[in-house]
Amino acid sequence: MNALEVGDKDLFPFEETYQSLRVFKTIDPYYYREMKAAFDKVRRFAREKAAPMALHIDRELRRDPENKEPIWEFARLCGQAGMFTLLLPRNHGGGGLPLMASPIVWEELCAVCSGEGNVVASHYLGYAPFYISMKLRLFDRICREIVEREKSDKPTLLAMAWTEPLVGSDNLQKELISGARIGCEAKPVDGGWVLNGTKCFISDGSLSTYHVAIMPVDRKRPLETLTGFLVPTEAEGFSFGRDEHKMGMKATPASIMIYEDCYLPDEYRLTPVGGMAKIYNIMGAGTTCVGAISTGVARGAYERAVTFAREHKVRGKLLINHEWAQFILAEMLMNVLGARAIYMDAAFCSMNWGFGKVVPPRRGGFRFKLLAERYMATELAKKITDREEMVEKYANWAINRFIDTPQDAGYGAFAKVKCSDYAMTNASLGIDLMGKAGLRHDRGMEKIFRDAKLLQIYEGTNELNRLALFNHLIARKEPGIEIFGGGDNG
Amino acid sequence: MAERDYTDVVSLAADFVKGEIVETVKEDDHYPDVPFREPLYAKAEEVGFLSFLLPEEAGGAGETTGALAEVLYEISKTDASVAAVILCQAFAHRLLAGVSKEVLAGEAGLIATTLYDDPMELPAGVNASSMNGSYRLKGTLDYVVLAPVARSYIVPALLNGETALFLVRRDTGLKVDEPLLTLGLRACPVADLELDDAEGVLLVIGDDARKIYLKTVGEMRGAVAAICAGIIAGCFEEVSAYAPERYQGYRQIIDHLQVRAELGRIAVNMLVARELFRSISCADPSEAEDSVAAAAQVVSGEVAVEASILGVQLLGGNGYMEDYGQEKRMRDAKQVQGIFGRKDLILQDIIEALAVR
Repeated sequence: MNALEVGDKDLFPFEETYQSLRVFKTIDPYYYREMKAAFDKVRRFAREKAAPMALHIDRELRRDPENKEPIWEFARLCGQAGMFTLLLPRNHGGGGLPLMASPIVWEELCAVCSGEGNVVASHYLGYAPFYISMKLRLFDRICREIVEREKSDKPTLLAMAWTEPLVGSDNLQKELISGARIGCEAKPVDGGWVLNGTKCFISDGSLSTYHVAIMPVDRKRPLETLTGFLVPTEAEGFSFGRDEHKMGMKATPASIMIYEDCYLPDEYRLTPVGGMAKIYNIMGAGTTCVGAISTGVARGAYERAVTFAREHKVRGKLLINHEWAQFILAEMLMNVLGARAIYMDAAFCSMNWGFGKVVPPRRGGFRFKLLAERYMATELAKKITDREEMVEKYANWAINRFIDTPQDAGYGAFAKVKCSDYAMTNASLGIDLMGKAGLRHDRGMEKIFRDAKLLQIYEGTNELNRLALFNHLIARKEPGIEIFGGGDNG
Repeated sequence: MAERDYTDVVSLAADFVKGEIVETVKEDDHYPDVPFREPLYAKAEEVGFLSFLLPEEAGGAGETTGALAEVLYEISKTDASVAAVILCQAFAHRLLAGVSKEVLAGEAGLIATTLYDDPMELPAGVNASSMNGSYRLKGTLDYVVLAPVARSYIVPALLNGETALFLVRRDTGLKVDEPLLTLGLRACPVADLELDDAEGVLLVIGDDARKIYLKTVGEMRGAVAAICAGIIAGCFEEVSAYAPERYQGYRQIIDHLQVRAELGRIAVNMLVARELFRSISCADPSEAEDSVAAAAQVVSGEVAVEASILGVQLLGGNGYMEDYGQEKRMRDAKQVQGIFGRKDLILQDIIEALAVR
């Protein structure tokens, strides 16, 4: 038996996993069926394709962090299963999965392996800022390339490049970015832009064909000049540094990206100068997804622990029959259920106040793919696509008008911090329960321990997210409170 | 009894670390994908660390568990894997010393032992039978420390329904599986064993075997706690150096009060673990209360895991990378906590000794 195989009785079906979503069964049965279908599809993929490869990839990347072949092997399976287009809008050729389904996808994949899950999730992390840029022509072209190449030997993947070596989490809060030691800068030149600087820790970076680089046009005024660019990896002046040698999540490369007078034609500029600051309005979507990823990790630890406890004896009887072990398993399951309740609440918050407010519940608003394609062939669609600037203005207006950033970001931070803490706790409890077996690579639990730690760090450290939660959910009601240590006056 | 001054052994350990470990610790952590660093252990043998607890008459240093703990503490600040090798060798020597001085004197090189998931029970999996005055062993044994590099192996086996300890030499029908990749302490080699009619020398059987085994486990608790304390000390050292350098949130991170609080937590854990290992490893073995030593081991393991996880966190993304020492400390701390007895079983045993009538 593969160390990551879990018996059917330890896998909860959709109906038992997502209690809150069951209300849709009567309110909107189609919506419910759509999410359940996504869940079933991803679970099958995770258990049949991802699980058998997880330890192998982790082991090979430990031997040689520069060897991408095992990751590409996995990426090709993802492509065959349609993982890279699931969430793309139907009117751009994608699967059009509802936004609300995305955290469900991450939990399901990451319950098997968060490193593998993040290969897929990081692709959509690149997609999100691209989507909100509303550069419709470019967006449509790239989406269709992703769809077209998905089942090829080298699927087209996206990534987002934002973090820098001296910046850390500072760029993830608009209150902090002005004090960040930013090294990257984009400068206008005739017909385009020249990018300079170095990005680091970029998930999926070295796998990507395009990435969204977020950098200021003026380093002294980063918030006011934050701009997005779509960078093809073959662009002149762009190169990859090494992939980082991480403790865990080895299946997702974390790359160094180097821009040395990297020239981009203006068509690759995704926002007007300063326009990418709108990303701060949708940060809750990203942190909520980390909450879901973390829940998957916490669940993976639980599933492996309970499977082990059923099969191994301690002091003459099965581990699962020891009362102290039952307490540990109960605690682990409660952590999973608690984490899921939190990220689902944050996801609903995102639907009510955040990203979901400006994204139709069904991507592109189409229930059927055929309708989406017919729409794209109409004159109206062409006119809208041709009037990018107007569409972007409308989108910016909608983001400012409808999104309640404090709610969205506050709940997102809540999900990110608590779910990642639960994941780390479960990984540790899992090892305690399994004893020496939990410390061996071939049993899968030690990998979860290594993987889980990254969840408390990336997408803003948990310290930063605690302050973000304080800022958005507490300080906003108490004017005069100093936040982030008083900013540059502190 | 006058308190022993350990300056000499601590200084010897510090020199050993500086000369033999500092430069190679990152590479050695890639074991089993890189070779076991034999010259390092030749040097350890030369300075006496691989025969630290061996009586002088058997050719050892004849040192005490208190001195061993100080050495392990010093080494673990830089690399707990090396400390684990020395500890496991000391464990094997102590076990043999309790059984037979003659066998002990004859055993050169590294000796592999099974560490204990359950400190109260010797691991099962091997059966022994007597044949023409010699003993044959058959079965498998999981997670045998030093197995890939040892010359001889202490193997627990069932003989006529009783647990016994055997000494098995490498070339007598014993198969060492591929070295295991483990969470931490990676440069302390581990493998599973397969015994197919391997020839063994009977060391001790029955109640005596269990008693000697438990006594040795008890005596080594201070050394285990010392490794935990050393990991925390190394962690504290690295974070203290990093925090004044790293700028984040408009200031050096050391100037954030929450960072100071977390660094303070690491410092508290370091001080607690240091006092614990010193108090139990210096206690007179004849008067030592195993529950106290076991409690110290549990607490040391917990504070080491907590501190090392916090150490990674304080370095942020850098802490998660192999270029810094924190991620290794986090893995090592959890490994140490797990291989010298399951925490939850130790808790059961402590309460059995203290409160169950």
